[in-house]
Amino acid sequence: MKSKKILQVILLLALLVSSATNNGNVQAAATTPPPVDMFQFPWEQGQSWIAMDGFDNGTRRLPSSPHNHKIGGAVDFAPHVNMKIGEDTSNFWVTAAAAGVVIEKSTCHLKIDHGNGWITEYWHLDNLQVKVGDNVSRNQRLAIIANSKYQKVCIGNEYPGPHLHFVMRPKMIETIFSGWKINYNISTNITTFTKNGQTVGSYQPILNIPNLQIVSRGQLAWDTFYNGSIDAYRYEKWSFTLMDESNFDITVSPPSPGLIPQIVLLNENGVEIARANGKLNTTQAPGNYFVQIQPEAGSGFYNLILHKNNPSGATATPTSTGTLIFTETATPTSTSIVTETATPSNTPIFTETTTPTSTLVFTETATPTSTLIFTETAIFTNTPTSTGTLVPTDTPTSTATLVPTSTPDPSTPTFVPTSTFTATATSVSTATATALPTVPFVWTVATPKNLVLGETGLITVSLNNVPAEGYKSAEFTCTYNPSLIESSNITISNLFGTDTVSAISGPQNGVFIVAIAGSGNNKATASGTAFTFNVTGMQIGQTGIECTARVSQGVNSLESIASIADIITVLGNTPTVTPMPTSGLLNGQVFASKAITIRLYNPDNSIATSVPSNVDGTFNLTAPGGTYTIVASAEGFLNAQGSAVVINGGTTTMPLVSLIAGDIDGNSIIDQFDALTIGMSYNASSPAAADLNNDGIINILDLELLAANYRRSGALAW
Amino acid sequence: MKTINSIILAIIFSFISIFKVNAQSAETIWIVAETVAYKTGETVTVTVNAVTATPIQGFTFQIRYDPACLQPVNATSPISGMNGLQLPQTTGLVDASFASTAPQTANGVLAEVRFITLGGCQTNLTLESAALAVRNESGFAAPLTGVIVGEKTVALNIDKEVGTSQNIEISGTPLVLGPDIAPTSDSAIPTGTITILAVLGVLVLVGVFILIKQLSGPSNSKNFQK
Repeated sequence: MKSKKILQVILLLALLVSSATNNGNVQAAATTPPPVDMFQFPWEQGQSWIAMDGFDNGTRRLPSSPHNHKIGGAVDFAPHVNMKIGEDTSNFWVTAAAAGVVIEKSTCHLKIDHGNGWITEYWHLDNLQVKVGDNVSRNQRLAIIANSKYQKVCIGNEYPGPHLHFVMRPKMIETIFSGWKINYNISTNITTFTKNGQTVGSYQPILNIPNLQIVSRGQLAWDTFYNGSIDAYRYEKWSFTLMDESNFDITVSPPSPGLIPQIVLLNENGVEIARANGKLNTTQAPGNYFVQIQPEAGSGFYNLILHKNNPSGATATPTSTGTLIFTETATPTSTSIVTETATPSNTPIFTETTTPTSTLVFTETATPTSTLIFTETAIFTNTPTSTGTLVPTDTPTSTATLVPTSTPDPSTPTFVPTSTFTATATSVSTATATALPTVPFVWTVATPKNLVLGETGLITVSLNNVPAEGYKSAEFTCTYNPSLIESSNITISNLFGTDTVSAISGPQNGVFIVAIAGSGNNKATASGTAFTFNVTGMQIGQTGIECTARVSQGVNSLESIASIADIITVLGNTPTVTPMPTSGLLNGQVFASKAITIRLYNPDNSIATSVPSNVDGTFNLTAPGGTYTIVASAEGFLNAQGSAVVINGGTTTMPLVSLIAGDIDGNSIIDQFDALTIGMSYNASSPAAADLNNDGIINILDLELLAANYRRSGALAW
Repeated sequence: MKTINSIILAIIFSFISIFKVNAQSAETIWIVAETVAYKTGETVTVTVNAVTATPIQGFTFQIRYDPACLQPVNATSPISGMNGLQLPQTTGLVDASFASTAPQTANGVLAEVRFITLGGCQTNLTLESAALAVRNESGFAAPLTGVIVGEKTVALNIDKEVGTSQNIEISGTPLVLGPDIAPTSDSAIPTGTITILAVLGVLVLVGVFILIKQLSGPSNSKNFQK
């Protein structure tokens, strides 16, 4: 009897527990959820789609439906509201929510395995782009949405219009997609999506912009192929260690079409040292380093290999003009001519991989103490075809043949007129070799090459070996690392005549374009400076600065010519300037689908500094210590505004902030006139401020973004 | 004398006529209702009208209504190429905007706004704000300046007696004016959920009843042992 009573109490408690748990929101189960930055929504980044239907508790659909929250849940997504059966869906691309392998495919669906038991399914597809076994990268186009009328869909889901049925297993609710958390209330059977405090429901735009993810991929070994995948919001970082000073190549090849991967070399503190596209050659001291692979454009897979160059294989001949001090075993008593073929054991750093060959003729003055002090003058026996900067880092060993020019002293029997000896040379200066192309080329020269933070230098861009027929016009594209230096004051010279026509685009994100054309019959017929500009050191590090050029001889075609880049090193403040740093760094990340500008205002509302953000919305700026008003702005978005304290010598990081889309006319309120601008410019591309999602066309997606923020006004608190 | 009076009157009428023409040629927006007396459940159609000499690329208006008396349904524009922009609505205010990719001459009806009458009411519809829009030199929509808002209020008399609902033919894609344009399936607690909760509630009550009965059991048990 007693056990029966206990059983009844247990049953009652179970009943109460059951009742309680079924009245609240679903809580995440204790299974392993994917990393919060791994998945995005299954459509192209930067676009907004809407959810047409969410999870179900068994009242709207059969309990066996994939939408049922007990099974794991599913959501139907569509590119816009009021999808019509038969409408053109050819540009509604479904993309991979994360990198993975295609494990199942039919005429209308795909299934992708992302590892660790995480699987996504995509249903009601057409024009499928992948096959079973394919590796796919995040944001890779998989297929389009079937339009339900002319294209087959999977059974039973034509209603209420073309859409994507998206499934994530084991539990969709545990997965964060592009920073959006899925919420489901069993009682009301409502599914909503929350990001940065904003919650949207069905038929409201969901912007697919993942938070930036930098994935640590582990240690690199020399001469081993690695592969990975990147997109605009997913970078990959590899590590490696140098045991001694080494010259090495980092090479990235993109098998994915459209992907332009960029190599960024970071030191162990994560500070950028160098960057390049395709291949990076550099010499670095012993230490730990990171290689970050990020896209300059596109997304997809890449291959990576790290190759150490053999020091003895460096065959470049030094063309030093420095003073060498030789210690000689012979005891000459006369002036001799030494014909020397020097083979340094150090590794020269050249901006190009070239091997100028030359013979050096030295005039040597030998002293009775057997120490030869001589001045060397490089005399090239051929025409060098490159330029490079040689930085001796150790003691070269050279072999020389001594040819006496006078009769040796008979009292010195050990002297051999022609002998081979080993001389030890110590270079006391940085040797510079200048070997220029013989074909037309554009030359970028920085003066000085080392800048202190905040210091401004001059960059001179010249056209060289200009053919006799001359150039009618030229278009220069200059690139540099915008986080390290800032460009300004672009000044056109008279190379194309006194009354030139010119246009400047940028600078933005480390790139600007200068186009120069001679007016009338004016042409550039001789070599000379095309234009100059200033650069200011913003952050410690080293960056290449290069202006490439396409030239026209007036026959309606542009031809690319060779280019020579330069390197600028931004140094910290020198101790002699002031013992205390006079500025600090301010960084952060702002999200918007447009180019973002960060401005700092002094307390008197005058502008202190202004920088464009990087593509991913990150920014770094330098300012004297103090309290500022910081404003982030983007065309078509309400500003974000806050207070920033910059500490001299320190780094201040601002909180992440997402700008609010819709203020097209820039009057700080999202109102009817912003919407009317979209209506007036429908299916056009301008004004650019109305293209809120930055997809190149003003349409319903932009109106959806605006509608989500309709009647909001003023700057967002940052 | 009569002749002089006639001449004076003729001059006055001529001036009045001229001034009236001038007044009509000013850019004006006003609202008009087809009729002012309705029964419950009938459709009220209000037209938003304009006189403008300047080709426009859009217009916007806001009409205040009493949500206890009227339920907004939709708005359409008879002007070819003038399309409604679906924006969030707030209860008590119709907020409608229409735009065209090309300038249009708009003299007469700009838009028709439809409401359903909900019950016996004496109520007003008020044109709270309105603007004609042109594209400025930056490509942005901007209000046409100097536009006068004419008749702002329409008084309606709605009888409690239920009338017959009308199927009104509309031209153009209607701009939906309900406060919630999303499907309503997510907006209420589903019947199935209510049923499950009710069954659980009954089970809890039964369980409590059994528990109480068992807790009072020892005395009976004692008696039984006796």
